[in-house]
Amino acid sequence: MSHYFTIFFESVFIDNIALTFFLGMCTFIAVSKKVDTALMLGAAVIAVEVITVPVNNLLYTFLLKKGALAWAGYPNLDLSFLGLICYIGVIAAIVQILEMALDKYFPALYNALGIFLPLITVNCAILGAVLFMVNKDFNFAESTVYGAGVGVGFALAISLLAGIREKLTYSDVPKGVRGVGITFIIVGLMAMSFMAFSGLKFT
Amino acid sequence: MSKAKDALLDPLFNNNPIALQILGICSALAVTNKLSTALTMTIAVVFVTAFSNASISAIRNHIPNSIRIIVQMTIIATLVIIIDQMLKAFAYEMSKALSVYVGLIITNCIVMGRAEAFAMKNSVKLSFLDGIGNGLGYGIVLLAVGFVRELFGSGKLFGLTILSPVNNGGWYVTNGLMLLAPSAFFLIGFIIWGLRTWKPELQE
Amino acid sequence: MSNDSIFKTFLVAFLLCVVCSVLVCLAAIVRIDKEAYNQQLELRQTVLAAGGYQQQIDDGGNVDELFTTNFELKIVDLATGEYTTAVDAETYDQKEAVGNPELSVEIPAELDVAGIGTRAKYAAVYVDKSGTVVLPIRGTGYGGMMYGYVSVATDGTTINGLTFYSHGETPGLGAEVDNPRWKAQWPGKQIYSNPGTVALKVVKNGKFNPSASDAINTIDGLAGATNTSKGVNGIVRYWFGEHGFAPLLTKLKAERG
Repeated sequence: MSHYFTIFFESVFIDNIALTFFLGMCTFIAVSKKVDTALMLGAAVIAVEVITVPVNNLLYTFLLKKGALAWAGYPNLDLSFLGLICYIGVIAAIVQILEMALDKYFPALYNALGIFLPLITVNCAILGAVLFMVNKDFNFAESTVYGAGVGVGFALAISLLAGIREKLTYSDVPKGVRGVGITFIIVGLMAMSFMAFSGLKFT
Repeated sequence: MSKAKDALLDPLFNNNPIALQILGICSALAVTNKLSTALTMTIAVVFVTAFSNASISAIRNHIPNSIRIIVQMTIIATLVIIIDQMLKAFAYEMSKALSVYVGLIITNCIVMGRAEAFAMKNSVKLSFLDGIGNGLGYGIVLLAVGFVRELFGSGKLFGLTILSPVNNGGWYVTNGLMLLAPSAFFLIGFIIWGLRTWKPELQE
Repeated sequence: MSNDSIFKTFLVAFLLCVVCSVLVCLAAIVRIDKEAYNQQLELRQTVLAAGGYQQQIDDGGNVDELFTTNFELKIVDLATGEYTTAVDAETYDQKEAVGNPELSVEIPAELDVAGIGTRAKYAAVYVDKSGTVVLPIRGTGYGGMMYGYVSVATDGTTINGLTFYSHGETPGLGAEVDNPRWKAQWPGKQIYSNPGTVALKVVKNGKFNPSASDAINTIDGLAGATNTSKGVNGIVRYWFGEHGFAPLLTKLKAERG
């Protein structure tokens, strides 16, 4: 149990996908102007991560890994080089299905999320989380916890940034750096503060 | 001819993908601690964007609307896998330094963005040049950030010592912040500041 | 034929898949060809560097030649310190063995100063013509697992060199384990003061006293990298202890020292 807690905690704070690995930056910067929209995007990311990371883990374990196809009679085959194309295909398919399911069964939520769901397909954070999961060789349960953690970490980071940017709307920022420029500098400072977590170890 | 020139040169400064369109930032931050990785990444992105633009443009009149996005993604992913495998085969050390970031070119907004915005509506030749232009525009920012980070972070450029670091018996006390990723954020923020002060029409 | 007809959709999808698969597989074939060689080259370079042959490589020596003429791969049973043929040396993968319950042992918590949890029963070591051994070591640093090789002379206690080939330490701080000036401290240091007790230690940067009686067993840590230095300390104290290579080194000294 504590092993799963460690994975979750590490992916939220120590290995935060947005502030430590700088993935998902395009949407991170673009959608962090208001806290409400940021929380929406965060929720969408959590939902997508929790589904795509474990599904891709199954794909990797039973189809792509070295020796994965032993159940089909090909124990020496290593198809991991097809990984990239499979993962992105699976992610696109899952996001599409999620969109259709939300539209049919939770139309209010679907309308609230609007454009964000299709945007998430090309969010580097999703593919990045899958690639890290493969690197770390997690099993199915660990992947689910990891996916949830990555989503929560992203949601946390983007909400914090939105909060700061909302406060900044009444500040006297120089013209050339207004908007995107100052956002980069803020994110840099946030990233530095998150580095404080990097020495944390669990016994 | 001038259309071709525009396609190639516009994305370098006027419409720079990173500084102005705010696309493709993710990899710009992680790989710019050394000029060699920044340059390799630039070459990879130029290759992928140019050829994906060209391929998508070549079949643009035959892509069914229902599978448009997935067709674009498949072409981009194929090119990225090819580059990834070539790096692993011929530049093993470099591929380890770049680790997952080459794979992440698939989700690099620049590649997808240009495919949808330009390649679907223009000729193969123009699309190819636009791909090169955007790749190079991305590269300019990457190399600028990489230049500052490597020089002030480790006193080197492309691995050659310029400012001899204290740790190696020299005089230059290396700026540790430059070796860490947050510095890339600050540098890009300053580059955007500089660019928008130079060209005030681009301010928000 | 309309672009959106079902037939066209399937046709385009099918043709695209075929073309892309062919291209991707061709690329993979080229890579697989080269990969085994690249990984072997990297391993050989690291072993040669740890074993004291770095200068010869720098002078333009051929890595493969230097390696095959000077080193022999042997499998050692860590519990007894004996060389063994229980597993095939050419195909043995020590990293994989750690995950295999039949080929690994769990380390009791009070002995696990390197923070690795389990270790393989057998280690793949490289023996030099002169009898020097190059041993694989690993342990938890500040930014994850650190992997390296350490070379010990035939007296079973003098270190010839130590190199880390993989680690996640902070550039400029912990990553200075790769700095030749820091690595230059290791050759000549003694692991044991009395047989059986690991005297080798890494102290906090600045606390190293070259004229102290135990200076021969002490390494100066890295400036601003306390956790990395502690990690390296844990690594040497575990791997040179009774649960690590001590049985092998005792035998080495008895036979050749």
